[in-house]
Amino acid sequence: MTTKPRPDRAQQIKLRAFLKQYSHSGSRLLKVSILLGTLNALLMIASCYLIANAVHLVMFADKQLDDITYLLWPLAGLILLRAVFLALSERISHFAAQKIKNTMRKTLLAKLNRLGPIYSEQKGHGATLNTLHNGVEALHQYYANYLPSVAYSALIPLAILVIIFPTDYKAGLIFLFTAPLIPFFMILVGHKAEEINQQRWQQLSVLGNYFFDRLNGLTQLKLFNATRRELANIAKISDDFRTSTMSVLKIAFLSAFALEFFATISVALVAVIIGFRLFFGTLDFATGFVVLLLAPEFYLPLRQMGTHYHARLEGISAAADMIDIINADEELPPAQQTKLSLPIQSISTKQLSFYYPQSKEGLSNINLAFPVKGLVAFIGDSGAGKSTLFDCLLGFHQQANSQIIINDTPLCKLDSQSWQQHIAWIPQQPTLFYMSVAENLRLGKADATQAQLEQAAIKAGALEFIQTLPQGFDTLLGEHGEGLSGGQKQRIALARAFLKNAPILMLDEPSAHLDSQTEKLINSAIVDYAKDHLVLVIAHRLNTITNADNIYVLEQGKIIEQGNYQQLYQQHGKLWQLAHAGAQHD
Amino acid sequence: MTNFIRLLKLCKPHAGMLLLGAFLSTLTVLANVGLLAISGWFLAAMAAAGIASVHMNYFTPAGVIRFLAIVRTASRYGERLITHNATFLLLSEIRVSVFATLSKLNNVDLAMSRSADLVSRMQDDVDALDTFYLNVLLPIIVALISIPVVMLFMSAYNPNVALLCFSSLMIVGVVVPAFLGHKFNKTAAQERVQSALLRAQLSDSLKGARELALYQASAQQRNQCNKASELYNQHIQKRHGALANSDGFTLLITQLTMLGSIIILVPLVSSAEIANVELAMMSLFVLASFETVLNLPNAFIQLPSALSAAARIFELEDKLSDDVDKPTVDVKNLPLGINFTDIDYCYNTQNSALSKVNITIKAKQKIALVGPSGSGKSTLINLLSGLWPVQHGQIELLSEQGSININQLSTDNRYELLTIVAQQHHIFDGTLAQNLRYAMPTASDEALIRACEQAQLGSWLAQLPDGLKTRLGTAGRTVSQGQARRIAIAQALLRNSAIVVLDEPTESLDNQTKHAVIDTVMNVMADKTIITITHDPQLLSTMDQVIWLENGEVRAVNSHQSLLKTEPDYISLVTRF
Repeated sequence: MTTKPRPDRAQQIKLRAFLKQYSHSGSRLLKVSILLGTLNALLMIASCYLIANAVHLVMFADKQLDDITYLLWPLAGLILLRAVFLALSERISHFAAQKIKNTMRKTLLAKLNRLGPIYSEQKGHGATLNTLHNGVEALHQYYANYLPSVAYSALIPLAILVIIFPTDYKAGLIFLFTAPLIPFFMILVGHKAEEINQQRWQQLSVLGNYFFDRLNGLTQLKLFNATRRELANIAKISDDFRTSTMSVLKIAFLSAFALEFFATISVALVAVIIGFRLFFGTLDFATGFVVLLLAPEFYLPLRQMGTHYHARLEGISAAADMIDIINADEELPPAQQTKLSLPIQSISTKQLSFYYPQSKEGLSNINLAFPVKGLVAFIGDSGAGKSTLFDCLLGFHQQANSQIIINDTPLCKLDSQSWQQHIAWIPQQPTLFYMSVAENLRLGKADATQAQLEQAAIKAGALEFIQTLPQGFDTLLGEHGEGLSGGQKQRIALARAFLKNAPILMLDEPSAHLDSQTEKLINSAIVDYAKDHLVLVIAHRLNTITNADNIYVLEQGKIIEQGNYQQLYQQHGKLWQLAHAGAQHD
Repeated sequence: MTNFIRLLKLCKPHAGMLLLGAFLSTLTVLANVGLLAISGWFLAAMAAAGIASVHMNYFTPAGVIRFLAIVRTASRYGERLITHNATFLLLSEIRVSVFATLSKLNNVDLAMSRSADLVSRMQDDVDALDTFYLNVLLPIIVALISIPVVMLFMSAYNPNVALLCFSSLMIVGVVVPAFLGHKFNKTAAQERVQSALLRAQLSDSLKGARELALYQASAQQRNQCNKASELYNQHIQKRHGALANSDGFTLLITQLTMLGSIIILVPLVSSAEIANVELAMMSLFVLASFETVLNLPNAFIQLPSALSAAARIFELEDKLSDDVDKPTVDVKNLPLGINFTDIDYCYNTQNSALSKVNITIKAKQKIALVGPSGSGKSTLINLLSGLWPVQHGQIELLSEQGSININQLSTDNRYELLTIVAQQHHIFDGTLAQNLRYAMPTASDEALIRACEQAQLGSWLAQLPDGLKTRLGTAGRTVSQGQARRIAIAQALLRNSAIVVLDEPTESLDNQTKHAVIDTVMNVMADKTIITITHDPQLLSTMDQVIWLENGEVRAVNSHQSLLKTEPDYISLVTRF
């Protein structure tokens, strides 16, 4: 569920404060829910009085059924009201949790957007996605069950005390006498029960992880002919875990045992003392019966709070991941920003250097000047800095923006959106969003007509297969939509870029071996586009490189060679090495 | 119902433990009910005695109360221990059974297209069954035993009250929860869809963050996410709303039942048909009797989802065919050739992955499979490994004794002869040594270290503080793709089988390491038959022959050098920067 180890006590306090701070969207609803729940408890106390009195009157005052209807009718009313209050209170507390979750997710998304794509990449998409999805959902029980249960554990015993004192101060004293047990229970529940729950769930999840890990690697186990061995392993490990967990639980359950014991003893104590007071006539039966009815209710909220401890722990563990995101430093762009003046006449970098924190990888002293149109290729080993360079040019690395000059203005002085809107970009694995083909294309140009969509699709060689999709341009794409091949995704992304018709097209050429038809098509399309636009490409294919007007070879964050294919090939440098390894055709 | 019975059969080996847990749970419940009822009676009797100023033997009831309190607390403790133990036992039973089933199915039956889907579904299903005993079976058994006992006592005092109470117990414990369970089982599917949609939207906004920024569509996508989030939560809220209603309803029924029983009993007290103290006792008894169904609603709510999880697992189990091919021959682990004859393979009626593939590989020959993605390379390997069944044509092993159809081999024999380093290599959660020993369980530590050195992991291993005992995988040290690749190669080196298949063995290795790995592999495996899937020119140039696949057919068979000379398409296929 969460990527963090269990938070310690100091962290827990911080995390609970965080969860409280971010509950404002539902805090009023939660208060209403708690109010209704407390009203329910008050009505419960009232109905106990009614029952006790009715029973008392019948038993000891020889009253008939008719004589006590004045008590039974209100009792029925109270029961009905309690049912309504209980249902409403639960409903509202869950509704509050929904609101808080939605707001939390919204806040996190907005923050991630401000932090930019690099942040979540470094954290890992998977981990961030888990925080956004399951992590936020894990807050549900915290807000809906745990927080109200904390309030009830303080409010309801207090209400019972306050009401019972005026009726019979001696009975009140009994409760007050057993009340010091409450903090004791609190500590017992708070520290011990939490540990029990924690251990139980941890053991279970370790066991679960082992099993699912093997399930994930099942194919490999088959290939190693190791499934039978692993089966014995799973059985053995499950059994080992059972034995070790049980020996922990044997001790851990003792605290729960103590709690039960004290709760039972307290109720028994109340019963016995009242019994004798009744016997000696110092108490009327109605009051005694009320006290007996209320005694279990007095301790119930505390015991219930114990059952929500897992929700509490899940909630604050999930919060640990969220607080990281919310508190991450944003690099705020400088206040004065101007719009980019058009047309774009020059793009260059001046001593561009950039390093990732805690890493030696990056770029150093890159000086480039791009023409307004033409095909410029970048090659180099993985880790040479090609993607970093592209991210800098796209304006995703704030620190590098001062070294990128557009029309004589450094990028840091510009509103980054006014720069980015002139760039179309296609990554190695383009994202097709969960929407229709047409909507995906219209990201490039919101007001594109159907004819324009089709035209772009033709240019990218995508029209043919789009038309064979079940709903043509209206077919839903994405993880849960129509499954497309890698080549088809590339072509849709290409069409999207063409539709934008930006003066600059940047693409990271697919390095996967797509079918040769797609490769040729993409190649000729970009060569064509480069005739009157600037195309920057991280190239992986020979044809792209031979077509390029200019090639930059990167190594360890530096540019080591530059020129067209013929020139560089004859230099017998890095490019020659890379090309020579595969194609010894010259 | 059949699934329920099959689930019970799974429980059978631990029936003793399960029943002991149920017995203790029942004891706890009954002691608790008795405790409340007798306390009520005790108070009433004491009050009555006090008013009448008669002596009363309060020692016996006080003793009973004490006794029940102790029974209750002690059996509660024992119950918790036993039921948890039983849960763990059953959990292990279910996992072993699921794993056994999955390991016997071939991968096509598991899931034609997306095996990740199946694994995550299995995870949910097994999770749903983890608490089958604790949350479903136990409350049902407790209710089945304790309700009759409670009813017996109650009807001895007053059958009408017992009848009223019984009806209420059924409504609260069975009817309402069964209705909810049925309803939730239906909405659960929708909830899962909404959850998946939300996940997809969130995933889109993370993975596509750059594209969204460049297309100025971040805000639009964030709106989509917020909408999906709200929609998902609306579905959850429906479920919680229904639960809240049922909680309110349960309270209503419980309290009204007590009120009803008071109304039934009051005239009887007035007419002196029953002792007045029994009114106090019965009203508490009725209230306490609802303890017998305390956990039953949850059981019935979870029952349908547990049953459908079980149904999916059993469905897979039923796919296991009994007619296992009897192995007829035993092939020795000596140099072997392979013959693929007329191999066709179709995913479905439209998509043909391989057609009319004929390949002969001689013993000890080193061949490479080359072709764009989707050309059928992996399919061919999956057929050879037996992960997928051969649909048409045959695969034979060529040994000195002659050719043998690979289907005649036992699984043990087949995997003794074959080593396959798949492209998707799974690093298991466990130590490095454990990971390596999956390939060769009997290997000594020295052999493991040698294999690591041969796979160019020597310096990495040397700087690991825990050496071979370093924990890897999800909970351990993360390995880079290049390291994972080399661990896979080390495993292959340990296996010493006649045929070795390496799928992209040099991917994500830097140039120097690549050289060294290729050299050692070719050296150590000189007398093995090797098939590699690769586009790496360095590796290709060490191969005896290249088999070039395209669209499921063999386009050319020749040496790397001759293909470079004659085929421009081949040059662009294998030249990558």
